[in-house]
Amino acid sequence: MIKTYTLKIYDVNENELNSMVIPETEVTAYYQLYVINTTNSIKLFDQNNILKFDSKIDINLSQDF
Amino acid sequence: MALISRDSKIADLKTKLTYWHSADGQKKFVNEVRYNKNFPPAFGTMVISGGYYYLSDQMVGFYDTTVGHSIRIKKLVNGDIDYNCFMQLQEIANVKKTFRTSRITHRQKLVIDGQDWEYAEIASPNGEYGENYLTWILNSFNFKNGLYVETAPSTEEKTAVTDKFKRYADEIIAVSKEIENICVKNNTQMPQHMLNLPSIYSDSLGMYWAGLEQSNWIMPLTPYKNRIVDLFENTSLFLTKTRILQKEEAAELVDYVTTALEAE
Repeated sequence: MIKTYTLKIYDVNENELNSMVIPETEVTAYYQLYVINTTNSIKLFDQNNILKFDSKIDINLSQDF
Repeated sequence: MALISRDSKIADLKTKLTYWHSADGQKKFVNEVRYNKNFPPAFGTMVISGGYYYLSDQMVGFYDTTVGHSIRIKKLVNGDIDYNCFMQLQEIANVKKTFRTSRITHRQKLVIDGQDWEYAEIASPNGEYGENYLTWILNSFNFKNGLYVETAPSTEEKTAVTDKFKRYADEIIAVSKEIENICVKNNTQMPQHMLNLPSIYSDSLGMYWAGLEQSNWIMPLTPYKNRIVDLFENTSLFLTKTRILQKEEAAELVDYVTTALEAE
C-alpha cells in the first residue's frame, strides 16, 4: 500500500484553493512547487486525516532539504 | 504494476508522457491548479495501487513503492554524460562499499518525436523502498497544528534523531567526495539535487541514494564542503523550529558535520 498525504493549498487569506493526494516521498517537491516564491501555504494530512505539517512554520523545506 | 514486457512498460510511459502534454493532462495538472502564475507546475503525480507515476516534460517514471524499483523515460538534455557519470559512481559504490545507491539494471535509448530519450530500469539496493529523513520525522512525531511537537521528545527520541542526522552526514560526505572526483575526471558539471536529503533513503540495511541516477549533471562545479554545511544548517533549523531539538543540540550536529568535513 502506498503511503500518501492529502495536500491542501491555501491562499494568503486561508481560502482552500486545491486538494490532492500525493505520494509521501514527493512532499518536498510539492512544497517547493506551491510554497516557495508564492503567498500560498500548504497543509499535509495523513491517511487518518490528521494534520501532520503546516508550511506556516516557515522553514526552508527547499529541494536541498 | 500488471505489465510484463519491456516494450509494454515503455509504451505505458510514452502514453503517460502524451497524457501529460494533452489538453486533459494540462487541465488536470496545470490549469485546474491555482498556482502562482510565475511558476506553473512543472510536474504532476498519479497515485495508483502499489506506486505512483511522475509526469513532467523531461521525465516520466513509475515508482513501485512496494519494492523500491522504478522505470522511467528521460529526455537526454545532456547526451550520455549523465548515464556515464552515474555508472562510474555506481561502480565505485560496488567496489568501495562506502555508500549505497539505487542501481540502473537496464538502459536503452529511445527516439520520441525526433528527440533523444532513454528508458531505464532502476532497482533499490535491497528490494525495499525505505523512507527519507523528512518522512521519517513526519512519521515519528506529531506536530501540534502541523507546526511543532507539543511536549519535548524523550532523550531516546532525540538520540534517534541525532544519530540518524549523523549517519546522513556521513553518507552525504562520502558520496559527495566521489561525485566531485568523477566531475573532475570527466571534465563535467555536478548533478542536480546531489545534496537532496529526500533522495537519501534508509532501509533495513542502512542509507542509500535514490535519485542520482536520474540527475542531469549540469550544476556548476563548486566545492561540495560549503554546500554541505549550508544544507545541514537548514536541516537543523527544521529540527529546532519544530521543537524536536534545542538550539544548542542542533548546533552540536552542525559541529559534527563541520568536524567530519575538516577531517576529509
